[in-house]
Amino acid sequence: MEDLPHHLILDILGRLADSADVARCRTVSRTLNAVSRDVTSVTLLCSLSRYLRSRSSDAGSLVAPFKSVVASSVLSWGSVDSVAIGIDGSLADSCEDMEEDDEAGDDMYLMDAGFLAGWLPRVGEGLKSLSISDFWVQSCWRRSDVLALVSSCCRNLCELELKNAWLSVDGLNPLPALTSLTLEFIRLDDENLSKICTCFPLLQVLNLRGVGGLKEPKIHLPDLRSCQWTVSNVPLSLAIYAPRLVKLKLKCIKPKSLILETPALSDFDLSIVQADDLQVKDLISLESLKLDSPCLYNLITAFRSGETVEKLTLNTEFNRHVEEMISLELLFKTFPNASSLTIGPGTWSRLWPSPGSGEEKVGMKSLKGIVACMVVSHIDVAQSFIAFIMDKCTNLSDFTMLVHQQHADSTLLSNLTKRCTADWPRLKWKFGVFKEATEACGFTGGWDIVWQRQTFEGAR
Amino acid sequence: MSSSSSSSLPPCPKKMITLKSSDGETFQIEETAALQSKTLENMIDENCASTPIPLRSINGKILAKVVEFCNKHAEVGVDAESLHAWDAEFVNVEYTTLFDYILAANFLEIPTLLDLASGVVGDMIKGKTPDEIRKMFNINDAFSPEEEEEVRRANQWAFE
Repeated sequence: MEDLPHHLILDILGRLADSADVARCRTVSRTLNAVSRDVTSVTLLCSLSRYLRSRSSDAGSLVAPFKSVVASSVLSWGSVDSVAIGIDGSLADSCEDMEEDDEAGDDMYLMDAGFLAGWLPRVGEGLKSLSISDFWVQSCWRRSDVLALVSSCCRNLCELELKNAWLSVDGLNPLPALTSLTLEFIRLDDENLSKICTCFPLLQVLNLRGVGGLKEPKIHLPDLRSCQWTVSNVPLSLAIYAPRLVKLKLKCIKPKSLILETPALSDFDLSIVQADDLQVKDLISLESLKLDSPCLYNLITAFRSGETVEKLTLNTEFNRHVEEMISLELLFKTFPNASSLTIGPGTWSRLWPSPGSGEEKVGMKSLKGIVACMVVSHIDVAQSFIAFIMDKCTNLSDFTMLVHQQHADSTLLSNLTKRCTADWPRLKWKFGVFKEATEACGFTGGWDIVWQRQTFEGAR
Repeated sequence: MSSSSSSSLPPCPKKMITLKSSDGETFQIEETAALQSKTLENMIDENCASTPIPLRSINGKILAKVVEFCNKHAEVGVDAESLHAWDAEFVNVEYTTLFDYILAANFLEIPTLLDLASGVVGDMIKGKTPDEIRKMFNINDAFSPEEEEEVRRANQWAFE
């Protein structure tokens, strides 16, 4: 290993997710010790087993408290530009089983300002990135002043990520260098986001996932490029004013009003149950649109910015009893220039060929590729529906057809493969299998591809 | 290797380039597969790939494996899962061979191979004691006992 060039050893050490491994490498050899001095990031996550060992009365004295390990590692590190501390998946998953004794402690309360004040100011000036993922059991019932501390001693910070805590914005100072902020499962003690927007005016990336305590949140950021926002059903109105925003992933339930003034938006992923008042200023740059809603029909009809969309994805919950159907004609009219269409399983079962389509030929000439999660009740019905699509979309060249996992081994898939490749040999076909998304997404019709493969029979 | 899938397609002339290892062995590789290497891509772009390309730092045994890796990763229609399994088998080798892969991937600038091999070395280090790491990679430039004690004291937190 000593014979490898230093930059390659550094690359290997940089891949070690736990900084304790890097520190142990220092004692292995002179070479590793020298190279490891150039590792400038510290990552320490506490596991459930470590937490339990540090709490057990027998072994307690043998395991150093996690917080003291964090402090001594950062202080002994040398040059540090990135710090990530927190709890790992095993400890996060066990939060529900914790007892009063666990709650009362502060041995794992990582956003404790007193604890952070012991080491953060010493490395703060050089810090570019800071991530703290707290132990919810201990952090949820007290308000942390971490924002005030960070904004006073980490003046050059570019990226900040805080998870699982109750934060105050009291004493928050402007941090003009900050370009990326992620808050996840945070109770923000302010009821609006205005102070965050004012103090971090040059944010380009903002991720708010499960940030509670917001009443009528408004995001007002002139430089924002990418935003991910997951909102509970509490806020009645949501608003984003971001002239340079390019990418937005918004997941909300039933806001009374949703206002978007984002003219540069090109990639928009919207998951919503319904909005009484949807005010979306014209999205003249929209190229990729993903809609996920039980009321897909209403959303499509309310959507005025379909002209520029090239890549369209439609998801809705799968429900045999829903009356609402979506005619293909509506899709073609709303999104006349789409070149790629992805249809989730719920959507497939609601699509239907428009009646009287023989007379008025509304087609989707631009459409090149379709990925469809099919819900097949009868193979002939599916085939005639595909025939209808082929008739309308004369420039289609790629068709990926996915059936539900439960049909993976049945004859359905092989029959579909045979028939489609025989009837439309010109197309590039792919066949595969999908399953419902593992992520708990509530009302959404989320799905994943299990596998897919290309058929060569039809190739020219 | 790719003969089965190519037999059904109409024959089209495939551009091949020739690589020459440090011990004089030559290997043919399709240009499309070779493009995974930035170094080779540059040579192709500058029209320097018409004669055998000498690779003085890579021996025949390793070069054969690197060519095999590039061919596999250039194959059309391989799904991610089976490629992952193939990769895992590919790096299931002695550490010395892993280091040779890393050096070759670094010289030829093949990021996928560098990631794969360096990642495996990283995984081998995870959770090990310094003694285990020394033994695993046959590392000889160890500290004197006094020096080691000092470095260890400075990093004591990692041993608790």
